[in-house]
Amino acid sequence: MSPSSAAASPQGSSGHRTNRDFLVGLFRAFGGALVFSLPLLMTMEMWSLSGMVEKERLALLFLLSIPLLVGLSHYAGFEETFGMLDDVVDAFVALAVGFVTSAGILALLGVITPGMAAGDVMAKVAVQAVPGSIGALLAASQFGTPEEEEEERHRFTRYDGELFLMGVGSIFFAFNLAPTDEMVAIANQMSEMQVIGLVAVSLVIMHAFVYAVKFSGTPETPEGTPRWSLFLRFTIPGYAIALLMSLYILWTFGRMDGVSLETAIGTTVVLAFPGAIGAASARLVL
Amino acid sequence: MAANTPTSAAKAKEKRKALTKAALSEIPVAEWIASGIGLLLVAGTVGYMAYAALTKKNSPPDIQVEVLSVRPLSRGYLAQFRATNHGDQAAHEVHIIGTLGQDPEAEESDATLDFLPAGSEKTGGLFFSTEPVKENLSVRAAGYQGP
Repeated sequence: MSPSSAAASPQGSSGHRTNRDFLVGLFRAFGGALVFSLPLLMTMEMWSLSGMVEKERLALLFLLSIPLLVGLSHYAGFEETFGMLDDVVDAFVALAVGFVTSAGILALLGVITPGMAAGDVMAKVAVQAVPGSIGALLAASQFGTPEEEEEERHRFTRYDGELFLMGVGSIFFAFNLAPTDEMVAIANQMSEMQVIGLVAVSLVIMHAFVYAVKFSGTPETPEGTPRWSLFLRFTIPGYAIALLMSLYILWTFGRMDGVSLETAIGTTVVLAFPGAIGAASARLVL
Repeated sequence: MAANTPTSAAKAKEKRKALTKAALSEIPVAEWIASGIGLLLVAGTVGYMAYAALTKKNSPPDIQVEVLSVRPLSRGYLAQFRATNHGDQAAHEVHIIGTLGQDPEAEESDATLDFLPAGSEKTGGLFFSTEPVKENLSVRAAGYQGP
């Protein structure tokens, strides 16, 4: 992506990068932030969330988004050679873009007004900045040059990169659905057997994605690799990550407070369904 | 290779086996650890739901309400309560009524809980203009709406 890396990167065929590249990168980042955060910016539950949910949890979510963005910058960003510091810079630029986008759109839509308490406004803007910053960081990976995309693909094919990417994909999908009332409602109208069925369906769909990616001519799957090993090494951990991310997001949004274990598991499985698809498709989309 | 004339199909099978073995031996331990943890989580989820399905009796909502605290406000008093659904079915629009004393003119306040899933608890509050005393105040669930 990002403006900073675009500005700092001397590699690449065209030699050094200019201010114009920086601006192009910045616009890309804002575009990405909008694409990723608009659905949530226009969701009513997200506006009232800051009043209903414990501020500490929102603060924790915001803090955790920093390592998430640094990791994303490491795996999806332009250059690996520039190391940790550059990834941190990228992450904060993305965060700034997400923040400005979130604050700007919320103000434009009349969600935040001058008369509101500062803490309330901060909470509203900060939560909504998280998906926006993910979008800002990914925007570059979507619009990068072919050489950059080639290099990125190499990093993603590493096992840790792959699991990380699944985590980002699932957290993004989960983020979009978790604040709605529907998640708990769906979990409550489903029987236990339907929940177990949903686990099975999630795994099957996820495996179809994994299978499609693994057998689209990737070098890291040598001939003779049995299918069950792919299922165990990619589909199962990927789905487990989707479950954990869903649980974390539900807890953050206060959906796990005072509910029974059965409702908690049911709701997590319901949210992990889109989460699993997000996790599995992230590899194809990015 | 015990058979003296192995067929070509058997040979191909041997070859595939060798390939599989080679491919599997190249997989790092870390990946198996990750898959083990994942398997545990998924199995736990499915296992608990299966256990819940087998032990469930499908009893109707059984809502117990307890008073958590009574505090004075700038005008009147607030009694906070917690409602717990001990039944196996969820209840919508749970109507909570709090009464001060026994006589017919006693002050009454009510609140509605949107949604109370099975085995879950939710908190709420009732406003009174006269101070509720422990012995005097009774809070109960009056009714609910089915799914």
